[in-house]
Amino acid sequence: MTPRASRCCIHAVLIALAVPTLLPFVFALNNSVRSTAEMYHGYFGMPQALREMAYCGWHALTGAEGTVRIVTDTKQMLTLSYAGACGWHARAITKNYVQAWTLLRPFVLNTVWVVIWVALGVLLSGSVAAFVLARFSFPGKRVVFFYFISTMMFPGVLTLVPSFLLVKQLGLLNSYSALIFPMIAGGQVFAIFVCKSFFDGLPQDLFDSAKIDGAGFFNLYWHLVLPLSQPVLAVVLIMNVLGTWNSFLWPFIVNTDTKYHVIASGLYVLSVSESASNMGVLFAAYMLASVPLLLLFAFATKPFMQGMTSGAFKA
Amino acid sequence: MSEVILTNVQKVYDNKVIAVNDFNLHIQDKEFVVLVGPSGCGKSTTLRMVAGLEEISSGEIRIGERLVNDVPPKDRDIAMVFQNYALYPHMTVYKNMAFGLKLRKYPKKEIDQRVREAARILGLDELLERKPKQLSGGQRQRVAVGRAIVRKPKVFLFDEPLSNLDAKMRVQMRTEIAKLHNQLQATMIYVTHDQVEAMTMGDRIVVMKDGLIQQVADPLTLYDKPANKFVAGFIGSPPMNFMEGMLVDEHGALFFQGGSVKLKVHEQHCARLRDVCGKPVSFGLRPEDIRDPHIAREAASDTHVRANVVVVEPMGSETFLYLLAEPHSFIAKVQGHDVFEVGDTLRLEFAMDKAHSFAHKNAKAII
Repeated sequence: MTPRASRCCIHAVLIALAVPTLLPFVFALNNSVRSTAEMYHGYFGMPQALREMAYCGWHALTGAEGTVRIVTDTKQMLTLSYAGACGWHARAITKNYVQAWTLLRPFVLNTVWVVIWVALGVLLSGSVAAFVLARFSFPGKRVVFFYFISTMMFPGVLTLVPSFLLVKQLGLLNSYSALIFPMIAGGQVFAIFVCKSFFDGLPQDLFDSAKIDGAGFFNLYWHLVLPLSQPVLAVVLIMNVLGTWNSFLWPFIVNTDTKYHVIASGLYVLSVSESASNMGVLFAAYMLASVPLLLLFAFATKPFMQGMTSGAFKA
Repeated sequence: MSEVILTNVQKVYDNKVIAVNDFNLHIQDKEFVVLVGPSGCGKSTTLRMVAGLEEISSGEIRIGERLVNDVPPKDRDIAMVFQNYALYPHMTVYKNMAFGLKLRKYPKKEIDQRVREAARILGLDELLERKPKQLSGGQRQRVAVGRAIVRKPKVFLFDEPLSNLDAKMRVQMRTEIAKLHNQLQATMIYVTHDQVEAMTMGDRIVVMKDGLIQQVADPLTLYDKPANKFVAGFIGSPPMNFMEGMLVDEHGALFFQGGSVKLKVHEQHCARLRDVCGKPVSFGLRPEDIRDPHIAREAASDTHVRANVVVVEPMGSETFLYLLAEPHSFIAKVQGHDVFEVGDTLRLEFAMDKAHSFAHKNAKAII
């Protein structure tokens, strides 16, 4: 088999594997611009508004004379030029998204607030703890490290009830703190594990040299560890943002007040509320909720890969 | 005054390994002292103890008038240059050199002045805005030296700073460090495993083995009067030849005899060697003290050895001959343009007035 043919085969296999992965996404994207009435006819098919917009747009571009009649949701009859009709259908396409954003905005803001604090907390506590474990000697160091790591062996569901009871006893239910502090506590274990492995690989001479230059604990951390650890910190950040953004069960349990819902729990609340009658809006909300994650992957893949392979190759 | 005084210093690791044992050394102000020895002899550990990067298990270290046993590295007024340069990869050359001063809160103007002065001395003016990865090995090492000199410390510590450089660059940097010492007039402690570096750079050399000082002396004394067999073998390239044998008395004259080799001991050594007559000794002679066969033709026969050429290494100005006189193997350094073939049998003269003898029991020098 020639290299070209072999590449084609590999790509064919990869595409075949990618299609089932992308299908739910395409399905949600397609339905997010369809009306509920269209969905009653079936969940598959090209959105009518898109079809109409393409038809009117084409006639407007070719300079065709004539008008189009449109029946609105409120049963009003509009007579518009091709260009006007094209614009009207374009607005109809985005209508679901505008409505979805209105419903979703408080949840997005809550999530962003929680994500920022959790990410900061995890990066700070994880990297400082990892630095101490990697670069300082003290009795019981190994025990402390293995204690941290052992907590990764317990699935989150197993600790759900005790964690809930603890948060309840602390009087943190229905607050941002109920999300931020437990998520920092949970997220930092992975951060410690990844950062410690990275810090272990940094040359000891660098630290010795900085100590002779006059650096104490803070300066070593701030001027040496943080700048040199950007790839691994990017990994921790990305993994943490992903985890926090997608978290559903814990926010849903500890915050019953809609005011504190985050994206995932908010979407669930929307799906069982009266807004669910407009399925197009619901699908648009799903799409909006996934946009930040798509952007994160698009722009953070390089540092992520660098971080994941750091230490695997000699610098 | 920036003397460094180590008194009964010992370093024992947790696993009971003794890295440095009973180390006593008084380094004078402005002196250039080289610690030399094979890997694992404790030279780097000693340097790191002076730097404060390793705790000492017992003993005292003084820098100047001050006992520094419990003083952290940053307060010892020292600077250290590491084998792998240890430059901060994310900082420019300028920032690397300024880092120590910045942490010590020097005014910006003074930092700039000192960095530019150091850069001028080391020829780094054009490289100040570059990152370490954009520099060659020699340039990186110069930055590492520059980082040390901007601080104007009492004592400079060098931990095998030239080991990562190629042979040509090593010779060049060796000269630059020696020049720097003359220029700065600072106390310097230099660790190396390369005896050529030690001989060419040090005012005094400390030869170490297994955590113990073997000998402290200036380069020529070390070469001419080694304290023991280890020092004799370690200093000099090619190393000193050793032959195991016995001293015998024949009609009042002393002879070294070992296998097929029998050599008359020089008169000036007889008095000291007579005590070990009849006992096993190690006889030592440097390769350059085994004379060319042309000269040997006219020499007395009781200082001659017949040997077979095993390997010939022409070096240009001289030739190293690897020889075998059963059961002894030895090296002779002869004139560069003489032609020798493997398998030749040569008659060589041993310069017995330059010979060394070491006690078989403790390897200490007798002569």
